[in-house]
Formats: sequence, structure tokens, C-alpha cells
Amino acid sequence: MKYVMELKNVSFGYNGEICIRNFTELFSAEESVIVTGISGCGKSTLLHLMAQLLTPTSGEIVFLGNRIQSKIDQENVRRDIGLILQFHSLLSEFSAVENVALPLIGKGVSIQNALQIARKWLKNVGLEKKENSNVLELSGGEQQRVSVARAFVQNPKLILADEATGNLDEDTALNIVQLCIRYAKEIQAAMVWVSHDLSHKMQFDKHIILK
Amino acid sequence: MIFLAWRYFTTALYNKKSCKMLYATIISLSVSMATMIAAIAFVRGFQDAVMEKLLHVQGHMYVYGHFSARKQMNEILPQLPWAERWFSISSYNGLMSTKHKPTNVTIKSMPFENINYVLRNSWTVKPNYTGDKPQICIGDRLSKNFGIFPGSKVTLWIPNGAMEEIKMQKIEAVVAGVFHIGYYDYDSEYVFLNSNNVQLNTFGINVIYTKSPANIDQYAQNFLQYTDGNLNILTWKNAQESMRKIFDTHALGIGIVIGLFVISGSIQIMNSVWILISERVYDISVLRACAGYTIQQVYQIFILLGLFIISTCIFSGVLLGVGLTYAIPYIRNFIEYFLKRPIIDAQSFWVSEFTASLQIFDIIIIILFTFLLMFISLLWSTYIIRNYSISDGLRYS
Repeated sequence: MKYVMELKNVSFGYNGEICIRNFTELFSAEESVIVTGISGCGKSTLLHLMAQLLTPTSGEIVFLGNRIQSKIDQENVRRDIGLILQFHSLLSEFSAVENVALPLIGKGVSIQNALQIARKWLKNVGLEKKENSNVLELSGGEQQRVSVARAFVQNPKLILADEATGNLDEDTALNIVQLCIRYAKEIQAAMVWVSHDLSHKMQFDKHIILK
Repeated sequence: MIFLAWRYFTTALYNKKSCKMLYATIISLSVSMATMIAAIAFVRGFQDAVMEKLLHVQGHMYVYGHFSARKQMNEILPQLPWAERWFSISSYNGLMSTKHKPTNVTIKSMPFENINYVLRNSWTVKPNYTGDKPQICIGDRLSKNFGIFPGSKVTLWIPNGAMEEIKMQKIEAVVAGVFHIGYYDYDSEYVFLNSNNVQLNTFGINVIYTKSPANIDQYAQNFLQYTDGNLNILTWKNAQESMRKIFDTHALGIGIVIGLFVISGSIQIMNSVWILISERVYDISVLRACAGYTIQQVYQIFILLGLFIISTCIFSGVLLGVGLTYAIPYIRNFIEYFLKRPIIDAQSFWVSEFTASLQIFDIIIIILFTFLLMFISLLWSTYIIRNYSISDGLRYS
């Protein structure tokens, strides 16, 4: 079976202190995984390693059967990953639709086409009426939905979410979790959801607890 | 990438924090560039005025040789298409005395039709050559300084003879015309004597005026082919070689000084781009982490942003420079009005008036020079992007 991502004996540490030790896990397409654990156990670090924002000190990461060996490999892999962060990570100079269109523009899609696809995704997350609003004018939940639309707009192979509902109320959080799981399955992507909150664990196919 | 860069540029122009820094950069660079354009145009205008006024009255080619060779010259020249006019003139350092006082003058003697040719459009009072008395034309400064006007009687003293037999030949003459060339020496010291009504013992030299003085070297070579080495030729370029060198040094000096301004402006561009990049560390991380942008794409965005700034600087610099160049005469008049004296001393600087000469070639060179310096600064400053960690950058939020 071809996995979307394979982590084999991955370790990582900050300033000589190891926070991820010999982590091994396989992630398949259409599979949704929640990673939980206490504060400081390395959940976010693991996600940053998977998102290729950090490089493991040892072990190897394989993406779609190809071992990631260089910075260029990391950059190429990032193009196939949709990342959702706790603080929505939107660019404040741009409108909602422009923020969603950014990954497509980066891939060379014309601005007109990129905006058209972005509008479709904003409609999917229920923000079609706010597409031209500046992201700073949106509520926290709306901003996070823009962030979700941006993560899905380029049909990635892997969706990674780091405490994506940490700032939201219970209903909004559940809504976003369900939205992400549904679209990840629709586009046949693997999804890894990092959270300290266990209330949504039943929504996912697999639960990994970091110690 | 252009879309993102343009958005960052327009945002920076309206952003309360960054706009002051950006406007300061644009203004200082534009002023540096404008100063460079105006100063070069000013120097060029001065040089052109000197050369143009000099060539207006002086022959483009001087031919020395014995009588038979000069006769040969008169046979050759009508066949050469570039030769416009040629004639013989005599030149003396003599004296001119009026009722009140004598003064040193340079006397150029030639037939009146050649005086008319040499002084062409420079007449303040055009001469009417009538009667059989020797007549002279003088510059307006000489006229004003000595109170002599058309109709005034003067005495010229011209040295003539050879070895120890030199005597002063006295000529009673009437002022027939007054000219104004704008070249200080000519307007204040030169006397053009109509040789039709006067007998002078002299050796003349031959002058040739050409249709295009700029091609004088080529013409001189062409002329030499016909002369079998019997004639010596001196062109205006040979005669003014030292002046050319002064001009070149002059322009180089100004270019270096103003180039230093542009270098300091380029450092400012570097500083501005650094600040703009530092303000965007979070955005850079978001673009790379959440939108999959490569580091080359981020470089492209900030290089394009820098190019927008540079283009604005260059565009406004050229506009300001051209405006400043055209405003130079007004600025000069304004300053002279308050100082109540001319700021350019005609006696020291040869020419009493000139306009700045704006040349497209100069502007293109200045634009290329400025652009190159700024672009190097820009590439250098964007290089810091590679030092940012995406993971750390995301924490800036």
C-alpha cells in the first residue's frame, strides 16, 4: 500500500534536548488522524516536521513513496500539503478570497482562475458573502474557515492542522472539524489533526497519543 | 508574484508605519537623481555654449603655408563638398584709443562680406558699410565700457613690420556696427576691421568654415590628401584641446560627486527593503508554510517590490530633474535678483549666458547607472530572507 506520508524513526530536538524520539507512523489517503498529548510533548513539533518546516535530526520522512532528502524536496512537498494553524495565519493586506487564492497563484494559476476556484471554496465553507472582506473584518471562526478553504484549495495530498480550533467556541470548533474531515475524504487526502482537546476524537479514524 | 509585490508596495505607501520611511527613501533618491540630471545638463549647457560661441566666430580649420600653397588651396576647396566658406584674415594685438582712454584690443581684419558671415546673427546694431573711411564693428561690452557707438570715431594702432623694424600703423576708423555674441573675450576685446577701405602690410592666415564642425577631423584628413604636405592644418579641436580636457575633467568631477549621492541613495534602498522584509517575516513564513511558496518565489516578490520602489524613484527623479533643468534660468534670475549681481561671472567663465542642455543620452546613462546600483543593493538586501526560519517566523503573529 502506498502511504501519503511515512515517518520512520524520526527524532528532533531543540538545543540538544530531544522532544520527538524515534517516532514511526504511516498515514494513508482518506485517513483522518488526531494527535493528542499534554503540553510540551512535541505535538506541534511533530506537525512542523510533517509540514517540512523543520528537518529531523535523525530518521527519515517519505512522502508519496519519495524520501525527503533536501531543502528542495521539502519545498516541493510543502506544495502538496494544506496547513491550518491555530492563529489562522492569514495575510492581513488581502481579502478573504485573495488569501484563499494564494497557493494557486504560487503554483502559477492565473489570478482570474485562482480567484474563481477560491470563491468556490469559500462557498464550501459558507463564506461566499464575505469573499471581498478584508480578513481582519472577519470573526475568529470565519477567519479559521478562510484558513481551511486555503488549505484545501489546491487539492493537497495531506492536510495538517495544529490546534486549529483552539480559539473557537465548541459549536464552531465541531463545525470546522467536521468540515475538514469531510473535504479531506472528498479529495482523498490524509488528515492529521493536532490538538490538546479530546472532545472531537470520535470524529477521527485514528487517535495517536504522544507522551 | 507581481500581484503580491504590487499589493505590498501599495500597502507600504499607505501604511502609517512604513509610509514615512518609504516616502523618505523615494524623495531622497529622486532628489539625488534630479540633482544629477540638472547638474549634468548645466555643465553640458555651459560646455555647449562655450563651444558653440567659439565656433560661431572662430574658423573651424586654419591653414598655414606659403603663397603658392594658399593659391593651391583656393583651387582645391571648391571641389570639397564639406567646405562652406574660406577666406584670409589678419589678426593683431593692437590698441584702440578714444577721446578719453586707450585700451588693448584684438583686431581681426577681413572684407566686410566676411565680417557679416562671421558675425551672422549676432548684431545688436547691424552695420551699414558706406563711405570710404575704415570701419569697425565692436562688441557691446566694448561699446558700453568706452562709450563708443555707431558713428563714433576711434583710432586703431596696429603693429606692423618685422624684427627691429616694427612700427605702429595708425588707422582712423568709424564704428559701423555693434555685436553681441555672449562670449566674453569677443564682446569686450575684439574689433572687426573692414579691410576693404584700408591698406595693411600683413600676412594673412586662411580660415575655413565647414558645414559640420563636429566632423572636423575627418575633413582635415580629406583636405590633407589633396595638399601633398604643402599646407599645415590646425583644426578647432587642436586649438581647443586643453579646453576639452578641462570640460571632461569638469564633467567627471561632477559625475563622481553626484554618483556618491546615488550610492548613498542605494544604501537607503537597501535599508528600506530590509525594513519592509523585517516587517513581513510572518507573511514570508505563512506564504512558505501555508501557501507552498518556494524561497525563490519569495525572493521574486521582494525583488519586484524593490523594483516598484526603484521605478518610482527613477520616474520621479527624471521628472524632477527635467523640471529642475528647465527651471534653472528662473532660479538663476531669482538668485541674481536678491544678490543684485550675476552669479556667473562672464569674465571668469568666458560665456555670459547659456542654457542647460538636456540630452537623452545623458538621461539614459543616469537611469542605467542609478538602476544598476539600486538593483545590486536590492539583491543584497533580499538575500536576508534565506536566514529566516519558517517555524520561528510563524510565531511572530
